[in-house]
Amino acid sequence: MGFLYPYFLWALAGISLPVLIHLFSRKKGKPVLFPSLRFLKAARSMTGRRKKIEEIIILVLRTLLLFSLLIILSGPVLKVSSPFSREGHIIFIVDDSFSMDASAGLSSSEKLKDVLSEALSFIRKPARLALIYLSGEVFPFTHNYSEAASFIKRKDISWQAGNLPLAMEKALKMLEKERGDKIICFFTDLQKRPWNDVSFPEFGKKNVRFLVFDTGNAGINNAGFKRIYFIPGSSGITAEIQNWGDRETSAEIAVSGGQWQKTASFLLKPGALEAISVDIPDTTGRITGSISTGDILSADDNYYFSFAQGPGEKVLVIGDPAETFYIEKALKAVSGEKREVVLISPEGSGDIFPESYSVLFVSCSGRLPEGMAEKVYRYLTEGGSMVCFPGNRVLAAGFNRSWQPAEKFIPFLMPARLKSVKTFAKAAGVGETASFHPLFLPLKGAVHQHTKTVIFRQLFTLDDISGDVLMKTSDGLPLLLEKKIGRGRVLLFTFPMDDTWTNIHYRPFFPVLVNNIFEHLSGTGADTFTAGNKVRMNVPYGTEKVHLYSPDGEKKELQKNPSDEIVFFPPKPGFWTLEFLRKNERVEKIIPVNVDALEGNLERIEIKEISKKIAGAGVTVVKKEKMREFLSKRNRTSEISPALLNAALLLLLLEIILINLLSSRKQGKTDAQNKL
Amino acid sequence: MANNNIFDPGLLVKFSNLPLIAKTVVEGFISGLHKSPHRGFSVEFSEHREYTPGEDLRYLDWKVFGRTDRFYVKVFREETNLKAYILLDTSNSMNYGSRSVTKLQYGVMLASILSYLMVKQKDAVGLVTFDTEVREFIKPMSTVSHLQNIFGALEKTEAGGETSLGTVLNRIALNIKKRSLIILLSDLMDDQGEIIRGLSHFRHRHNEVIVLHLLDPAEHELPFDGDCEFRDMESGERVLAGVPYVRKAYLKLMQEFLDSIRKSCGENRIEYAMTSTDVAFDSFLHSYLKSR
Repeated sequence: MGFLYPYFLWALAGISLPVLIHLFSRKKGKPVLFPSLRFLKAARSMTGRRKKIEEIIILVLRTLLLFSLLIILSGPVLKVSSPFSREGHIIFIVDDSFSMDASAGLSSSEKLKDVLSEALSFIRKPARLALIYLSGEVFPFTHNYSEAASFIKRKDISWQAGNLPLAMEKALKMLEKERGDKIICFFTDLQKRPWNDVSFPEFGKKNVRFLVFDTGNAGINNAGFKRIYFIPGSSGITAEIQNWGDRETSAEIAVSGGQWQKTASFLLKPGALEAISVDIPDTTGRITGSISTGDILSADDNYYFSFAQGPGEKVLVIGDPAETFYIEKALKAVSGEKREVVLISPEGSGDIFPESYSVLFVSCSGRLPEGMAEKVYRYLTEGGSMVCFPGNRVLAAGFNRSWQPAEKFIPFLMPARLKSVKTFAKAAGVGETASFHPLFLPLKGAVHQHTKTVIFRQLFTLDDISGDVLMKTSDGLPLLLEKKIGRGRVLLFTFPMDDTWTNIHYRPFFPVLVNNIFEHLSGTGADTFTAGNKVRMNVPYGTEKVHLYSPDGEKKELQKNPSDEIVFFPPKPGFWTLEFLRKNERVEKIIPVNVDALEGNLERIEIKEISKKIAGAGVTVVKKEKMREFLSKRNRTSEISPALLNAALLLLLLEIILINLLSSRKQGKTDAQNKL
Repeated sequence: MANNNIFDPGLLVKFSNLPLIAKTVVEGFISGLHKSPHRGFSVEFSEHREYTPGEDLRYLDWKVFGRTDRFYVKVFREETNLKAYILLDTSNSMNYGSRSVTKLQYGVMLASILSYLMVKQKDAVGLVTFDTEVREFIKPMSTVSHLQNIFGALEKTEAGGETSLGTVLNRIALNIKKRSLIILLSDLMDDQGEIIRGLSHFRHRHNEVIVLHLLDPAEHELPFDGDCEFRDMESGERVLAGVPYVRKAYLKLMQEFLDSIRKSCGENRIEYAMTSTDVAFDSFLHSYLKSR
């Protein structure tokens, strides 16, 4: 603390005068002759102590009043040094999650850069600075501030949610072996979400100061997409839109699939999650959803969705012609020539590229070629689908061997192992079906009407069922099973399409069932990915090159790792495209990438909650408007003088009250007079 | 309270002619009484008469009723040979006057008025002035020329010395041989026990005693402000006191003293009346005689 006009402090010596006078002077009152002092002396001895106390109180009040006034005149100032010590290590943790984009007017990216640059300008050598962004990027400790400034200028707000606990861990690790003052400055909008997994109960022992620079604004309303999904068998997609705020918001949704666009208006109640169904003309290709709500966080106002079949309605049927005939007919019966069906014999299937097809139908009685199982496995894990009929002459053991690849890391691909063939004395009919399953959902509960003429004379019995049974005979024997492998699915029938086994392939139900199977397997929405999160994918068997195309069309070659996987981090939302090249074949896979929907929740964290999570750190939160004042070496006169002035006024008030109380006692004399 | 009339002590004190003051007040007072029920000072029991319904019950003789079971009322007659002594305290404390009249001046005027009144009723009146000692002793006589002596003595009266009421009253009591009416004019600024003992001495000698307690308004109001250095008029002792702090306690003590004196007088069959020096003489006489 210092004084602008310290010479006024000399006057403080004068304060001792009234005290000395009070202590040593003999008071002289107004001389009054009085007939007898008998009662006066007695009265004085009764009340003398109280008078002394009151006199002392008044003396103290007046002395304090004088003291306060002199201090105010001296111009007291709090000299606060900048928190950035020259000997210290400073780490800027920067919240570059997309919630930071919630800013009207000037790009919030630019605003954040300005705030960071300004904070950086207060750092003086030899202090060392490091930068850690919640999106993961790290700029190590340096004395070269201009380089750090350039880094800041280059770095925009990411489209990611960010990982605060990881950033904190990194920061603490970097500071662990350093000496001198250690400071972590977190530049954030104080969004609550990044703090969810933060817990540093031992932070206080690290001897690290934690400063939070609040760059956000309270009371921002936001609504955004949570997801878009497709229920197979339905005629449209469903968009879930969340109103994160506490105000009712009207919004308009537009869903477009290239050649078509559908719009709908709706009202979002505060905190509500609305599911909007939109009918779409076809279930192929890419769908983009966008909402307009007028809020200032736009990142979650768009959503990217695509159906699984990148290759369109292209089906590969593997099997002998006698076995695949009915499948081909059934597949074409509903879609006509639109659906491309490719027939390959088992012997010729060694060279196939399953990724070129949306669904594989396999009906084979012999062993599959070498490497077929692994090829199919990779295809399945990345979202491919397969439907399998055991061949007429297949042996259970041979079938099981075919789908149990030699590679140990590949599981048995079928939903169950075949055990033996059961022949019915009396033909069995279709019994229970999983009517809620997308396969049967379009039949609207009338499955029995369709299947009542279907009979089974023989069936494979099963062992080690690892999938879901979707259809059973009236005796409860499984007819159809489903199993998920990776992101794909496998359906297994327990019979071949042969007259000695069943008549199902003759019944009108069969093309309906096959079509539903195709819709179910190919029409499901592809997985969507989150911006900034890792995408790991098996490369199709035999792929020589993999290219990644960004939503802007920027091409980048990806390298396979030894496990034949590719890994990449799509940094922003949009339709990313993977291109797999092998010999003369080319397969595309669409990767719809969206922002983390939960990041749209702009609820702010309370400072006391931060203090709990970072125990013992003594968290200081500074609004961005106050940052310059906080970081500069400054004189805070405005904070002391008013306080002192208030104190002086309070003292004056107390004295006036006390003196009034005393004078009101004098009024008592009138009453006494009246008494006498 | 002081009025702007002939009974106002503040006005009367401006006249130095005591006989004139006395005459003015007494004549004015008596003319104002008309059919006054007051009996005055000079009355003495003469005989009993049978009670007639409607008569004032105050004069019923209860002792006779106790003996005879019959109601008799006492009949008074004017006494022509009553001897009265007016005892005037002239101690220094009596010289105090916060307004235009000191207690002594008030006492002098009151003594002259009473003297005039009694001589006018053919009663003998004497005067004793005292502080620690008896300063003047005039034996009672009922002549007008004697009245001049009293006025002369009163005009010469000056305050001086401390109060020693108990001692001096005992001494005076010894000098009064014949049964008399004793009227004490004093501020009673002495030990209460001593005062009562002195007055009781008169009662033992079969004298009627009337105490007229004179106080200055300032003594029962303490109307000062701030810190005052009070100096005792008799001893010269000084006391510094913040009046706002002590007033309440002082007034309480003063009231207790007055109540105590009044009670002790009552217990000793001594008539007691207190007056303030700002009270007009007619008001005082009126209220006093009414209470007798």
